[in-house]
Amino acid sequence: MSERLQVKNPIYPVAGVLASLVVLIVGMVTAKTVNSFVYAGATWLLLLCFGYWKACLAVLPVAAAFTALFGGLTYAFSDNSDLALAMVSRILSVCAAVIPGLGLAPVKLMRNLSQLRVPRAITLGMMIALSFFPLLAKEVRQVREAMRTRGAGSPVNPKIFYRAFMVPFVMRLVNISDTLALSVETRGFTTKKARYTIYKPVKFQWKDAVYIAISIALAALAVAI
Amino acid sequence: MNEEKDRSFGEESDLLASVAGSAQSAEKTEEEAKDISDAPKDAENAGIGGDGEDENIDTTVRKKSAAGRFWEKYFDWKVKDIVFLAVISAAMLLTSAVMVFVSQVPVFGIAQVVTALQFSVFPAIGLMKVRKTGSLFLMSIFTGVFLLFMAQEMFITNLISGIIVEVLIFAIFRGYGKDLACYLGAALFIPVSIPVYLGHIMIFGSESVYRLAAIEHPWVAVGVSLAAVAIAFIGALIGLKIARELKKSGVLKK
Repeated sequence: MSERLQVKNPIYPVAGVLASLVVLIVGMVTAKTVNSFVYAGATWLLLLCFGYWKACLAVLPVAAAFTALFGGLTYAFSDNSDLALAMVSRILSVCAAVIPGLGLAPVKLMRNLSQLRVPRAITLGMMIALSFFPLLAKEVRQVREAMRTRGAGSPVNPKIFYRAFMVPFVMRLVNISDTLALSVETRGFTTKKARYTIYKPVKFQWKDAVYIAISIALAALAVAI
Repeated sequence: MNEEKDRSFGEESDLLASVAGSAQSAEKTEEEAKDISDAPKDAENAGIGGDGEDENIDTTVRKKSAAGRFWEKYFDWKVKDIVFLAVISAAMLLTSAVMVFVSQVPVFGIAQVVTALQFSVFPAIGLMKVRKTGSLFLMSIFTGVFLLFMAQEMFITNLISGIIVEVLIFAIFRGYGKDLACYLGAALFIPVSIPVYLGHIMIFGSESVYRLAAIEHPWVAVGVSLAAVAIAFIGALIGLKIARELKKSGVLKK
């Protein structure tokens, strides 16, 4: 997740994730009606008002590209404009549902889940999986450079790919995980029952309640009308 | 002189033992202290606890420890296990980024074909190292958390597939003790996710281009799905081979 798009004071993380799911479900349920377009647009405006303007603007070109592509493909396949419009409305719902996630720093979601007593094993694993993307991308680049330096040959060859890329890459993964596990344990982390505190607890604020109320109202209107 | 040395050595070792003991006891919380399963056995063996009250207490502790033993046998993950599974999941996600480029191709199963290798090789390696029930489900959660921000439906598909495969492997093999169980666990994830995804789009994605492709060109969908299954089984074999090689060289320790 790009840090540029993250909001300084996002909506209560779990509420944001649940709201995204609601947007997705309501979008799919109302896909064949005009309500879906209005609902997606209203959700986008609501998020814009709640400080997610960077993520809202970032989603616009992606939404335009995907609606053109998938709408066009659906029309080409089915020769039915209603189906194509339904596809477009579904994509717009997905784009609106993604905005809270784009604007949320993963660490805040993990803190929230820890406050809600989600098992620490799961929050730790989620945090590592999200955070280690750039590091592993760097490792892949380094292994490929090492292949080139050694003159290992083309990675398209399965034998070379296995011996010169996969095995060294997995070895690096094992070494990284061993070092990381040691580091985590040194800092007192344990999977057993132990008391812990959260450095910056996430608090449920009045604006979160307002957001939830408006989201529910919009969803109810989209389904009912 | 020797006696003095022995005495001081004895005192020193006593001191070290007491420091180690206090460090160990500091790690245990009050709840863990209650879960010590040896106490009732020792008490029973020693003939302690004759009246009804003590027997009730002993029974309670024994029941807890049976559940605790079951948990420890099948689900007791250590920090290093969680970290390894998370790193493997991040690698799976990274190498599956190619799915974005084929997402617009209107062929059912195309996404599963391009990700089948990654979603079989890495889980096989993960299961060979962390041979505990639920490891595959944990990996599906860790990969799904990224999808939670991007494609919530894939997150749910991943979770359901993980649960189904875990239940299957537990029912047949009672865990990942055998290499065959690890192999099948890794190989079956993609084949199970295909019908789950198909069910999802049939129910919810009435205008989805993949649903149209599956209905209008069923044989293409079947062919592509079979290709994904074949790649998954081959990938799991590759993962198993890598894991065995690394285990032999001492890199992949349990």
